[in-house]
Amino acid sequence: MDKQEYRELQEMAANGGMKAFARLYETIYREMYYTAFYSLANDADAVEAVTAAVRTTFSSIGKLHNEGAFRHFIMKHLCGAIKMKFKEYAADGIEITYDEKRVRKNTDGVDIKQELNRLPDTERLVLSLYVGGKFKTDEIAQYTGISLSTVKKKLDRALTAFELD
Amino acid sequence: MTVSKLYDYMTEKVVPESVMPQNITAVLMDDENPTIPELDAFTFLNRVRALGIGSADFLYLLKGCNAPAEAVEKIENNPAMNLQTLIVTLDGSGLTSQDYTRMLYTARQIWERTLTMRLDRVQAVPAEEDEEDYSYDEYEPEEEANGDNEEIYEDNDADFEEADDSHENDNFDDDDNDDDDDEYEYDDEESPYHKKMITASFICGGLLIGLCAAINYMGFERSDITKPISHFSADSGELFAELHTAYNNGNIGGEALPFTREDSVLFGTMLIQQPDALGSYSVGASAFSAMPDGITVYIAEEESVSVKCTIAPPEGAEFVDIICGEDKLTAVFADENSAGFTCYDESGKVLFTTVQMGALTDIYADIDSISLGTVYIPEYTESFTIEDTDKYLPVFTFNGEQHTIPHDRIITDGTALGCGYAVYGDYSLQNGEALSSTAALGNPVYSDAEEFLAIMRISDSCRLISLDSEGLPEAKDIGNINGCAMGNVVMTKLSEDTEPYDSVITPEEEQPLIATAEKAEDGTDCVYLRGIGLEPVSVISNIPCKITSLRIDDGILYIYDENGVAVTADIFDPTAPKLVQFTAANGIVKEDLALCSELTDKNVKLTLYRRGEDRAVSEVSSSTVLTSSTDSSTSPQLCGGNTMYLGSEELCGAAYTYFDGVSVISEYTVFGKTNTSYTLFDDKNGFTAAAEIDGAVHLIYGESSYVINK
Repeated sequence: MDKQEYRELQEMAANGGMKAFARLYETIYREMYYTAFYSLANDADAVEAVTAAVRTTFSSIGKLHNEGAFRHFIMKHLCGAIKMKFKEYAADGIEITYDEKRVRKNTDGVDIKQELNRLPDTERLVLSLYVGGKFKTDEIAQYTGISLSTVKKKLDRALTAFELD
Repeated sequence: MTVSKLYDYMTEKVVPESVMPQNITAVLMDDENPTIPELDAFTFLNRVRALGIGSADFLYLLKGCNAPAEAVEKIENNPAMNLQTLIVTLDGSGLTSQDYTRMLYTARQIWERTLTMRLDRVQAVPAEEDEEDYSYDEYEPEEEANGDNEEIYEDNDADFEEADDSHENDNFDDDDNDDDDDEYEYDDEESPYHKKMITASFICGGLLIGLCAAINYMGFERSDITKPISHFSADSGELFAELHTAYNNGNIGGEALPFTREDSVLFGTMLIQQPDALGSYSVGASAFSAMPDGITVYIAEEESVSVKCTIAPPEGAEFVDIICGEDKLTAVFADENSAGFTCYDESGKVLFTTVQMGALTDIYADIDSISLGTVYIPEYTESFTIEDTDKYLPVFTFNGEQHTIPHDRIITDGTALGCGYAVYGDYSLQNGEALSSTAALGNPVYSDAEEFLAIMRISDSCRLISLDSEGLPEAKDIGNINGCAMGNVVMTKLSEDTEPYDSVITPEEEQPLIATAEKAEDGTDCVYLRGIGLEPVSVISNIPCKITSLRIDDGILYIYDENGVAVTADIFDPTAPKLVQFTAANGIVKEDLALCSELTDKNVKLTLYRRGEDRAVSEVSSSTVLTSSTDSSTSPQLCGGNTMYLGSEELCGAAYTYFDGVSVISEYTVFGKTNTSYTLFDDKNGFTAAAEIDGAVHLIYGESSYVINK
């Protein structure tokens, strides 16, 4: 999608165009879902976080002033929604555990399930953005509101835990 | 395991139907409180501006929308109206959100067709269709591809052509005429036209040929704007036009604040002044001894060393910093007009070089990346057109290939106060490629490297420009500054923000902190500490020196005057900074150890210190060498920073020279287990470096060495 198309779709979405919004959303929904799912380890909560981000973004898309900002904007809202979930979990004393059957026990000698469970919330979020969303560290810093150097440190720790090259 | 394998694994999970794009509209419709955003004057003006709509088109829009004549007349009669007044005028005109939507819709059509109109010739009201054709309902995206909308576009074209016919002398220049520039006469300096048609050229000495830039962009003068809006430029034409205005007004700018090396470290209550030498580094089976004017590469041969090669900085530049990795070494260099870095393998072979244009103001290095902050003024020594972006946009070169920072990463605010850029570039230390770049146009004095932070001079004060949490520019005007620094500190007293997601940033997270040296009302220098949103969180006032620069490192603020560090402050809690009294010393620091030297006319004293809790510093060991010289002109001298070795308490030392009345002695004192001294008599160069090569610590002299940890 080129910049002009982005600009037009944002314009339409800002004026209430849901289909235009869906076109914009189409460019990023997979990254959003994987980020949410691997951060929260729960399908229902991941869907809830994504839809919350979608609603918030749609209602405030008029604030966008340039064509590149949509992805930043919606990912920022998604990270906010995920962090809210983290807070809820902490308040309710819920521990994040991956219990899906599909989570393979072992890949290349790394127990993915165990490593995901072991990571602190923020590191898991950063890892999910980096691997599941394929975002760069500076983008992750912007989405999460964490400083770039902290993102790099957390990512380094998470990648080390997974013995990732 | 690789990242791509984990990605493949993660993406095996099927995305649920409920969040698929085709179903997301259902989510939006299910929203119990759907809020359709409404346009206001401010948003409308910003969007029109982003579309590059000129003053004539803007007035055309107002008239076409039947805006109250009083408001149109007021705007028409005040071409220098600033943005705030424009907003107030529109707000008070009775225009509604629907009107703004309709005008924006028309503006987009103008933008799409790249139509150009003449201000003095536009008289017709363009839209003869029923206003309903432009209404919000008709603008639903669901209908964008149907015939109705196509008709609307066609009708608009017809309107424009009709207007064209009704005015004999090219009222409109449509697409067909775009390639016919020669026939397009600019008979009026105020004539607006689309930026794509700009073919202006700059010429050395300020001579301008083919002048046709959109100066009075949007119909108001930038210099009158009291609260400019910093934004990423919509296209390079916007930057070109602003540069042109600034250049014609004689606003060039670009007096950069000096780059401050990490030359001093607060170690407990000792301020340790580190040597000018850049240090010795071990890379694989080689050692690099770095000085500002060159780097010597040594390789070990049995129990001796040989010089593999020497590396000189680029002509006119000097090395200013070294970043040592496991298998390569990166040397940062700078001259007056550029800064860059070259990466070498262990044999000293160049792997890649990246150069960022502009005077260096800051360096920041991380595990796998390096960022440079520069202040760049393009040379403007030859003619160029809007298409020659490399002549007027900031550039960097990677392995000799030049790249231009894209216009959508360049911030402008329309004030046209300078022709320079504060440039931030983040580069990979793995391959030298650019990871991200941001720049700000104006009269820059400083660009930080830790994260994007530009300081632009505006008359007798300054403007800070940074990026907010959404990556959008934010600006704050402050007083005139003479120093700036940025660092990450642990904000222990963060208050909860109202934004739900921001509040999740836990208090122990590192947060960027900005320090600016400014003048207080009583004329003394003070330093403001600023947090998120550039708002001051505290101020250190009555600083008894004239501040020349600032540096933040590991929670300590270093305040420099012309003689070096004058004041240090603990800013771990930025809301309550504490001044730290220090005693000065010379030496080097490694983690919690410091090796210091003290010279008098008759002796050399070397002392190893350890840092404990609460700034407590204890002496681990020391060695005093008495020299027999009585002549002050031959008093002992240290051999330089590259000969100081600080591996551990068990192994460290330093070299010095003195005259014992008969010979020039070059001596190396080793602390720790060996406590040995090595002496050279009448050796011209003496000890030149100490470095670890392939696991052995060599005290190097000439092409020989003592190995001290056999």
